[in-house]
Amino acid sequence: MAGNKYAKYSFPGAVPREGEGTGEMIGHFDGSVFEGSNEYGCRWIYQKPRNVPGWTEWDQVIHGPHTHKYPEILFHLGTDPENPMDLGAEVVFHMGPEMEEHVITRSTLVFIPANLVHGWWYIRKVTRPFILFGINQSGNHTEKSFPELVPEEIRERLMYIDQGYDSPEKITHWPAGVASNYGNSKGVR
Amino acid sequence: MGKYDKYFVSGPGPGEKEGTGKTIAHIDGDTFEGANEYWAHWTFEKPRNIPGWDEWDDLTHAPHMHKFPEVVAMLGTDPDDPMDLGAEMEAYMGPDMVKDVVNRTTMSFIPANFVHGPSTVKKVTRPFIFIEINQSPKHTQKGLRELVPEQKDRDKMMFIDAGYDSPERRIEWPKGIGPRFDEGKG
Repeated sequence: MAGNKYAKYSFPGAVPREGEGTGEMIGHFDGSVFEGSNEYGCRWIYQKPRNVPGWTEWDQVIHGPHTHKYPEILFHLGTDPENPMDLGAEVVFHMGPEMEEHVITRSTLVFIPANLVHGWWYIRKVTRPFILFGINQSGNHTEKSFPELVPEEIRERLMYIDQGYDSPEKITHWPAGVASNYGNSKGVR
Repeated sequence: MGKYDKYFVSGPGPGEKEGTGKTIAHIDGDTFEGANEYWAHWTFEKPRNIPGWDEWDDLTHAPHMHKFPEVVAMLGTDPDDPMDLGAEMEAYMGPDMVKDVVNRTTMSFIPANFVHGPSTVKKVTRPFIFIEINQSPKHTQKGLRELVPEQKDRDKMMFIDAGYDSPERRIEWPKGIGPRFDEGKG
């Protein structure tokens, strides 16, 4: 992708204005980067979280229940060619206002209809790095949090985001002890 | 059986045949109301499942366009070298056919009605994950035969038409290759 006139359409690596997030960023863009684009964010997830001060084990931080105004798609992609459908990790995913629990251990696409509550979501274990690719079917990220839907005993581990409902700005709430300059960065997750 | 099991997709859909590799998931607006088209699959060292397609460069995807934006992700799978694709893809972009060689993990945005292709996988040294996303619930594609004036070049190309002159997907295979999966999604 060596500087030709269409190189702007390709993203090998992190977007310059962003940090790497908790792993290695493959690419992140939305309607503010390309007119007509939905929001796409793709990154590597390693055995332990990286880059976020105070976040050393995955299950320290749980992404709380939330909705989006538009459908969301989350690819959890295992990376073992010898066992291509094995995720090499365990991801806990709650779906619906009933908080139905799903444990993802296979390469899986999750479709989340607009306005359907989903989460809490967290990575329980990573034995082999995998790729997480999140898509919001809108040019700008929208998210509304519902921290009150989780049991009280895990509430202190919640990270939750509000954006595009009451305010266009992204407001990220982090658990105590996970101080971060990461909160104002863009991110599908 | 959970109420939301249907939203967790792992593997080809019911009755869906494998493409050239292994399908991780393939959905569109027929699968879920409101969904665009998403297809993720493994690409191995050699193409699989298509009669006559033995080496990747036996077939080239002809220049084409879509009515809606497309996103293509080519994701290398080596955790020790995460941005290495482990493969080489030759792709042309734009009506002026600017050539590019992709050998790094890459995500590309292709605007609506923007000509792209021909594209050919030249080499795979390590299997990678290929994801095609069309920002529409139904696939659209128009093969642009007029951009390939030489018959000998067209003979190696696969042309796909869907959602322009006909809602059905029509695949024109190169001589001696296919068909296999043109009866269903793929």
